[in-house]
Amino acid sequence: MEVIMAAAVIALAALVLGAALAGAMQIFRASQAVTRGRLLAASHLEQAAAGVAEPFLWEGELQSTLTVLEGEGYILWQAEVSGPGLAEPLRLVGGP
Amino acid sequence: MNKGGMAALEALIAAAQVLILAAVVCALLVTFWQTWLKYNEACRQRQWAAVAFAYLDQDLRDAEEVLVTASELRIVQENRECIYRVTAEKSFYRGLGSAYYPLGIVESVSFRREGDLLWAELYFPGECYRCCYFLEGN
Repeated sequence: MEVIMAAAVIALAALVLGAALAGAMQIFRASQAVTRGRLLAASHLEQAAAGVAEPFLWEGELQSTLTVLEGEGYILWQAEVSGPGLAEPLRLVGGP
Repeated sequence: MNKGGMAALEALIAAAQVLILAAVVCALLVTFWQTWLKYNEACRQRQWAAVAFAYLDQDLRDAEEVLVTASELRIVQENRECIYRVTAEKSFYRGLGSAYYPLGIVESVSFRREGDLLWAELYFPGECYRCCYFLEGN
């Protein structure tokens, strides 16, 4: 009986620890995707500034899409990165 | 089976169960610890890369001249010179005059120039981070 109770307590503790570890991994994956996405978007904007940017740029499973934002007398570039790990698309705007 | 033999058998079974539980606990702890270490190391590498690229971005904005070789990047500014280099101990650092700013422990670093673009790639064991910069007029 005591052994069964000990096993149940250990299983419960392992479950809690596993859940905490899975949560930490999820946070890590999201932060890594944000860092990679930010670097990808920055690179895409730098390429746009150099005049050699393609509409799409890939880094692993992340994809950056470049769009030109035109207003009254100004032109800006927007790099939008999407992919696994990013809950929402990450947007970075730059100009010439 | 007599009473003494029964008690000995029960004690043996209980001891075996305790040993099995102990083994399971140890295996779980080792697995959790290894996973935690692996992700912690990857997290540290990500932070090193983010800081290194931020410094690089800041230094390149004020650059008057950028010299790229296979092993180092030299950024000449108005009144100072920055060097990005990897030591034999694989420590990636930013040298500013006689000051030395360690940026991280890397597997290798690659600087590549493509026209007006400079590609910087940081290789860590199992991870790689890269970014490019527009070198206007350099």
